Amino acid sequence: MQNSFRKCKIIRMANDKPVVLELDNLTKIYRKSHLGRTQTSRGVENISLKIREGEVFGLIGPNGAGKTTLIKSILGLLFPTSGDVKIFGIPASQSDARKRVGFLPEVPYFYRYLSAKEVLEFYGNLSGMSRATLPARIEEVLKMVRMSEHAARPMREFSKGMLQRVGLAQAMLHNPDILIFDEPAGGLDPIGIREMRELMIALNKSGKTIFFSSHSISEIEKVSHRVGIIVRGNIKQIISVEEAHKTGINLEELFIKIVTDEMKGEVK
Amino acid sequence: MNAVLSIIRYTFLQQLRNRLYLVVILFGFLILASSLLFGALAPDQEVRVILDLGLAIIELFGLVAAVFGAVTLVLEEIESRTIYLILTRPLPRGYYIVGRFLGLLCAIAASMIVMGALHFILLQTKTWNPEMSYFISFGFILLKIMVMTAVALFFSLTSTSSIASIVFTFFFWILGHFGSEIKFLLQKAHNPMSAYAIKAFLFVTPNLEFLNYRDLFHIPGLDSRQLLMAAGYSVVYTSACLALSVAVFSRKEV
Amino acid sequence: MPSDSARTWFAASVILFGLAQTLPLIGQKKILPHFEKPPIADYAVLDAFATLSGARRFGADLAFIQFLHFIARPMEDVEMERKGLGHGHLHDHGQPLRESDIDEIKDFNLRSVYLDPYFHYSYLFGAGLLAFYLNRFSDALEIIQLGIERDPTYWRFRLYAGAIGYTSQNQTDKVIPLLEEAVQYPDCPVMVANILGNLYEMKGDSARAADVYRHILNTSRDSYDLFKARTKLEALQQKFGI
Repeated sequence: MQNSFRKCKIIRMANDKPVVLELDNLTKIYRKSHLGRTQTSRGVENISLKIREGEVFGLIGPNGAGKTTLIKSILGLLFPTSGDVKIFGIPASQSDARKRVGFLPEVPYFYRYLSAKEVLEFYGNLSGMSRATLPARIEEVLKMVRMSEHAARPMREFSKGMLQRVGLAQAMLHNPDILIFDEPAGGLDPIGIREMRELMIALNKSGKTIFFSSHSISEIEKVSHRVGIIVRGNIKQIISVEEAHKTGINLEELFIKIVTDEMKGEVK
Repeated sequence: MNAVLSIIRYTFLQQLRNRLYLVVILFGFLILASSLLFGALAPDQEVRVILDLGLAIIELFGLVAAVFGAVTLVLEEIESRTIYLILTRPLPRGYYIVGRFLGLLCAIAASMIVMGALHFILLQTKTWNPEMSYFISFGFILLKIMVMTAVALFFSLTSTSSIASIVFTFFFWILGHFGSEIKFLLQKAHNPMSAYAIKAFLFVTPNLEFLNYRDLFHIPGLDSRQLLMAAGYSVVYTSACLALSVAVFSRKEV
Repeated sequence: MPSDSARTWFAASVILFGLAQTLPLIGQKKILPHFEKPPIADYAVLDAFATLSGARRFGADLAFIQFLHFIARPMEDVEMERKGLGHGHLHDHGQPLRESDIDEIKDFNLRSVYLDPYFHYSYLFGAGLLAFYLNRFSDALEIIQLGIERDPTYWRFRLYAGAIGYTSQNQTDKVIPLLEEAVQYPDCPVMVANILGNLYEMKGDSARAADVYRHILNTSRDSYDLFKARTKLEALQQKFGI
């Protein structure tokens, strides 16, 4: 009840745009059975969310809050215990739902012996891109992430920042309409973080919807339209960044308050 | 289709890069060469001994490569998390399984063909007239390995440890060769309940004796109809295992 | 939902398994005779292993090699005895070749042909050994009979059956043409050729005997057989100047 009350206060933006990503009462409970005993642990609980075209939505929460669980459920890597996930109206359990989705995992793991170009060819084929357009598009995205001169090098020689850029390149490769990034700034140096931010803003300007997670409030604030605060598997509050600035709400303080309140609740 | 071909290609290359796998093949070569030694123990039957031992070795090493390759085929990608960027593409999970399977199979078949070529050359240095049966035997060895690769893949997706999947696969290998003996024993069984249980079990175990042309070489009255049926059997059985693997994998969370 | 597609795939697999298992029912007409009881208990595990790993032919090869190894010593003794060079000469422990040893020779032979029921050479070799060297005619015929049962199309078994039958009745004249024919085939054990050579020598037909030894020299690959044939040929040449 409390949750829905808070959501009512959210100032809606761009309400007329079509819904790109819709979560309806999404719950994921992990079950582990060992020697006949089943242990359950909560991943996320009763999450409802609508993300509309052109929006940048940042998900923030402490470690273990359920950010990755949520993202994996959206991408069909995990199956919800209850509730629904729809991308462009297609249930996430169908592979077609991911046709217009680009994903950047927290740490992009690739076949390390392949070159950036080869790996992009591979992912392009998996996304059903035509052989005729693929090579030009690969060059284009490599240029966007400034990796053109390293295209032929095997990726085992790459630094973490370079891998992250190839990760970005593969996420953008098939020109998806929604991009899902899991901790895109994780492990990057300040310059890398800034580049990432600029790229996200540029992508959004070109009409892409972005859903991403982070644990850095200052970063999330700079690029998002809305921020969702997730603690212990629940989205406690969704705030419009614009509105927060107008009314003088300090996001950092709000976040810390929500998290500490939650912790106190647990102690009681 | 393009996507499946891509997965086949990358799996094939990945397998060839696997050092352990190469060691297996090299070891196979070594043993193959040592069949000369066995041949020398029965000088009048040298060709027969080299032929039998060579084919048995090729099959054994194919089996080892298949079992170890298949057991890690999908689990390895889950562990290394390279699977995330594949399954988040608009790719049905079944395509992924089939692509991985065929890629591995191509790699195993390639290595077995290399070993087979060496074996053939080895036989050529002896007084041996190439017989059709030899090539048919070799073809059926490949089909047998195909079946076992699918079995191993299925076990790797269902059991919790690789050791368990390896043990189960070898268990099936033995049962597969023992099936006709079991049926024979069944005729003597008096307890109908145990007979049904055994029959149910035989329903899922592969009938490898059907594919074991290597041992049927000189059986009188064996016609091409039986061979055709056997080849068809191997394909249908493999498809059944793959379908079961896809069923399991489409429920698997990564 | 993913569970729906899982159910579809599961149903598909059941249908495919069913289809797969009907194919052997209609197609698997010829199967190897069952390997029921290992003739030599000591090797039962080895034989079972060959059967279970689907390598019965190779198992039979191993059994045959062990068979050759087992008879290597006593065979020399038997030959010496036949020529009157020794006196009931010696098995490994200084014992003469006993009946039980010969039984064991037969078991070794049976082992290889149980493993590979179509190991023609092993039948011919074992039967020839039992009949022509050890005078175990009924055992030899038993082996040949088994071979004919398993592979009636291999008519050379019948040739050997005839030769063994006549030998048992001391009808040397009838044996010679049968063996002459047998020797012409590439799968004829050298031992049979040796018997033919001996028969010619006994008849005093040294020219024919020398021909047989020359034939062995041209066709055999076994160094021991070659050595023996060469020795015999040289002896004939010295004696008769052929």
